[in-house]
Amino acid sequence: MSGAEINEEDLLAYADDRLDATRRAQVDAWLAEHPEDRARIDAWRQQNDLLHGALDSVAAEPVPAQLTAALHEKPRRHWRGPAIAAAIATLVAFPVGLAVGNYLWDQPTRQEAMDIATAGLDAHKIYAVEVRHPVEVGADEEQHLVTWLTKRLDVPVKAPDLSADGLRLLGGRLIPSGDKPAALLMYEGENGERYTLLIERATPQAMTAFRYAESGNIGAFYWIDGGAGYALSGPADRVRLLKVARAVYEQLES
Amino acid sequence: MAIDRRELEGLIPALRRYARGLAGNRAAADDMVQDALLLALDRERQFRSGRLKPWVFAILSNVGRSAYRTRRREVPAVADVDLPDAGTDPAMRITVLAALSALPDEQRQTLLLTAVEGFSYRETAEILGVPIGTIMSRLSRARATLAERLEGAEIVALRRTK
Repeated sequence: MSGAEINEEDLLAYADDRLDATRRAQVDAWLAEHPEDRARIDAWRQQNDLLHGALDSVAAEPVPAQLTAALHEKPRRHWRGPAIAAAIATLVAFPVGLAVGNYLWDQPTRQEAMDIATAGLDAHKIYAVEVRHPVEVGADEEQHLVTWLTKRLDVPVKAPDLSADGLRLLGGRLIPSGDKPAALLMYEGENGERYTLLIERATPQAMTAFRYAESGNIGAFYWIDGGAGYALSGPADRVRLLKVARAVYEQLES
Repeated sequence: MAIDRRELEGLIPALRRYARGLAGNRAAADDMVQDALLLALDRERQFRSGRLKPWVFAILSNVGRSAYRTRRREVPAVADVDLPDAGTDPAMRITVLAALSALPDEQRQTLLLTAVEGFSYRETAEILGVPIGTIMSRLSRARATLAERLEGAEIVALRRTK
């Protein structure tokens, strides 16, 4: 053998195929005489296989629409621009500095979004089970409904058309959310399943991604955008709920 | 320097994979990716030149440090569930993700960037902003811990590869 000194780093790099041919040959010679190191390398390579096995399917999934959408938004419109710009200005370009994450989800926005989710889930549990009086104003008076709620909430309320997702508007009502007024629109599917959309006024600069919360067998996607907070609640089937939430989002954006 | 949107979009699958390994949970992982993308666009003038991929992975590594974990701790009343992934042995996935989650953040990042994302040790050092020697020692410790945790999962792994 060459007698070259082989250390832990060489073994790690060997397992990851990061050595040049010369060094690899030296490690090969070493391993011929050190079966215990050979066993460790085999175990590390198996770890790599396991990691790929556990995670590669994620990379093969279709990319969620809200991530591609994020690239085509104008983020500055939504962002707490000055705070972020100031934070970023203090960072060198690369490598990135520390604690950027804290600016993304400041505590008040997080709390505000969580309150909206909780209000939506609670309201859904109370009103979605109502057989005879699910709404205060029916869909037959949709124009009156949205005008009224827009006035009371002081944010534009629209009733998205979710018929493409098999849901028809039943109507809506005004409800309390904390100390604020909120609108609760109710939809019903072909099998009687109900979805509710809670809308309330939110901090104008706040903006969040879609977030998911669940309580009992009810799930909710909730978000804050353009001065309003939304929570879409329904049966905890996340795939369908997300599809409906996206439809709501797209229609409210336009 | 302006970022090529299409190139950035092409990185999303790998960013999601990395984030899933960091967060262990689909919703939190995609939140992280979304925030990293928005942050990358917001600071694109800071992107000098060179390769976009390590630069964006560095941003995602930073995003992953604090916000998402604390968020989940703060809200115990609201559960966050994961959807099953198609095409992978769920028991194996859970075992591996659980073993990963037992690692300290910086070891998990280091291991995922090298072993799964295929960055060189030097690139990983740059992404995480530490010397290459630190990368090697993190890797060594991460692999030792994983080996202990995965000992029982070996049979499953062998069956999978056949």
